Amino acid sequence: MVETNDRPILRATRLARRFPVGEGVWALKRADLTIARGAFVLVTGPSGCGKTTLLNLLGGLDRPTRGDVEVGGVLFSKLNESGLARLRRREIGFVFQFFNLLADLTAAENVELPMRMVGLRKAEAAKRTTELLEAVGMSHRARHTPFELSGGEQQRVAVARALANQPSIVLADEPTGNLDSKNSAEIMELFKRFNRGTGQTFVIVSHAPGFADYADHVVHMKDGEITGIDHRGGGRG
Amino acid sequence: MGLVFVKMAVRNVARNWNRTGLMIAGMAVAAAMMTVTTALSAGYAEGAAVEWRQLVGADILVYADLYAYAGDGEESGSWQWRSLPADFVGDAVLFRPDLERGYLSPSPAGPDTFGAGDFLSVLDDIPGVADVQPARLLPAYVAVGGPGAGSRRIPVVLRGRSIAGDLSARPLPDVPDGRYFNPSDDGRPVALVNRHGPVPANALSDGRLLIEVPTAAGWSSDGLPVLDHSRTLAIELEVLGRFSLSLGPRVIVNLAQGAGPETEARPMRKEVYIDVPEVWVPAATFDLIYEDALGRPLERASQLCLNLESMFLAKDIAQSLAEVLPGRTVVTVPQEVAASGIQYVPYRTGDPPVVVVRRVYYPGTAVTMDIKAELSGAAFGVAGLLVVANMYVLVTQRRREIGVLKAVGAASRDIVLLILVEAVGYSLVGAGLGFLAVRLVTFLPLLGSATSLVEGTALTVRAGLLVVGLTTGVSLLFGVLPALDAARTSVVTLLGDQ
Repeated sequence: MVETNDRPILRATRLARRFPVGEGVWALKRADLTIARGAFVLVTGPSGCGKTTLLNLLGGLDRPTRGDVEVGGVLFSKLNESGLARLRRREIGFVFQFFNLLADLTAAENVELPMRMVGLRKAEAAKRTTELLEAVGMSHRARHTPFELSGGEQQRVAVARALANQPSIVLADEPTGNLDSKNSAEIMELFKRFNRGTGQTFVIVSHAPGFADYADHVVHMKDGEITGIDHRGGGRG
Repeated sequence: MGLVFVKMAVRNVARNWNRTGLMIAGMAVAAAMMTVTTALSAGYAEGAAVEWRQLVGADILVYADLYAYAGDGEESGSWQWRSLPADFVGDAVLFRPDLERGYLSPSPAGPDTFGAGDFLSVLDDIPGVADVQPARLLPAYVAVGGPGAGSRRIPVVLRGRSIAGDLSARPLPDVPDGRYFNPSDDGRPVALVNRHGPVPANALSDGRLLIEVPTAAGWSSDGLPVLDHSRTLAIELEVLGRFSLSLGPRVIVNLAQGAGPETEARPMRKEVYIDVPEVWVPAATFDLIYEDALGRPLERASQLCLNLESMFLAKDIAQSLAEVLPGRTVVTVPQEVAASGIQYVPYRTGDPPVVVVRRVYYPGTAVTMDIKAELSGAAFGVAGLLVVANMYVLVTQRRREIGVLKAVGAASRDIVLLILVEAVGYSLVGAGLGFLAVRLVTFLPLLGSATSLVEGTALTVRAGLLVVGLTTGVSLLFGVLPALDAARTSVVTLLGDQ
């Protein structure tokens, strides 16, 4: 088992995922991983090594073929679809490579949506939305729709949305994959700032070499397996 | 949390104009098709009923040169007929003085309409016409099982009958209860029903008959009512007796005719007449019912009734009228409605021969009903498919959005709710517009007529609710399936589709 430390918020046990393509493809052969609360983890490896598959399984976006995931003591295998949805709503924030903001909503509405979904009052949600947008430097674009924002701006809004319900874990899949180096660095700085400020756990999938400097722990993957982990002790930022 | 998605759905409908416009247009086309279909359906159904009723009313001159009348009893689902012996045919009026009436129906008012005075002057030149009076006719329904939607309704003709010729009642020798209609004509709600017509015995309760008469939706510029068959006035009539008049649509049947049991039956083609489903009431009673149901006294009839001195004259009178009234179609009952098919089995051979009529097809009715079923079914099917396609497009276009919503914590039921609320929004607006577009075209002529706009609007609202309700119902039904499919698909698949 590869562990980042002994205060786990997230634990994956013998995690594997096979996709029924042709004779079947094992995108993730086996992953044992324990991630501590407040850790900043970078998952890295060559393209097709199973990083995204692992992240999807850790976030409950997909069901494993074998193994299980435990978040805050709750096993995913014990949850039905709506239980998993509830967990995602409250405990997990997602940032995607392609931003995935809802096109019909403004930046503020995109950020506000997860809060409204957990029943936060309108005024309270609006106040927190303003704070989050300010924190990611997007308050001046609150009323803009995604089409009116640049890629970097959209990703900032996506980060704010992921943090909306103050989740224990933020999972980001190639969050800088569509950004230039300046915006990439800014997004990573943002992650690190929130990680330091709020103690939220960040798991970021990226194959960009320079981002290892931000991480406390770097998980290396190859051919669907975790091949090692570097404990870097604090990282940049 | 559901409210969040309801609001989101409303917001989506309001903001995404491209999608909203396309969806609404699709729904509008479907609703327009449904509107036309339902209008045609109603029209054909009513048209078929009207056609049936017209057999005893407008533009028809009743005459008989060969009679059949009811037999000794009834078999379930059958009407029995026995032709009169050949030697009585030529003198039928002696036996059937109730046949002394013929009915002539000039066409509704038009450019070549003549006045009643002119008409009478024409008749002066034609011997044998005893009396002319406005026809007291109303389509009606016998309500079997009580009034209202739950009852079975049998279309009948409510005929107000002048009893001037009936005062001297005489029993028919062959028909035990066949006394002539001789009620007091003081407006009592009494009736005589056709003994062998389609009014079933169980429609009579303690000697009373419940009928429903349509109300007036408006009035034509000719002073004739536009009838609303969906709103009826229920009237209970005391049934004084059942008559056995056998006049009505002419059909061709094969009579198994023979001289006696020993004689081999020889099939022959003969013309006989089928009962019309009539309920007779005194003329004064009819006038009261007419005024109650339609809100106006009978001022103008759509046809006139001619009382003939003898039914032998009917055919000649019809011919004479056709000659002196060019442009008029004067026909005898009912040349227009020669039966397209009839099934029979010989009841018994002998003299007089008897046939049991199993089933009668009225060509016009059959055709319109067929058209109704096929056209309505096809158009409704296409409209339904259009709605289904709209819903499918609505969902499949938005798999990424659904995936994102699920990723941030939306449950499957939230996704379904979101899609269904949007579907309802599109359906209500689209179907409303489609319905209004069609109805506006049909409504415009009413502006130039004397028909009450208030009543017309009420009818439109009811039809609109039907069409919009149907469209929305189909949307919901077929929106649930793709919505459920999308909601149950994993986030990875939904986002991976991009």
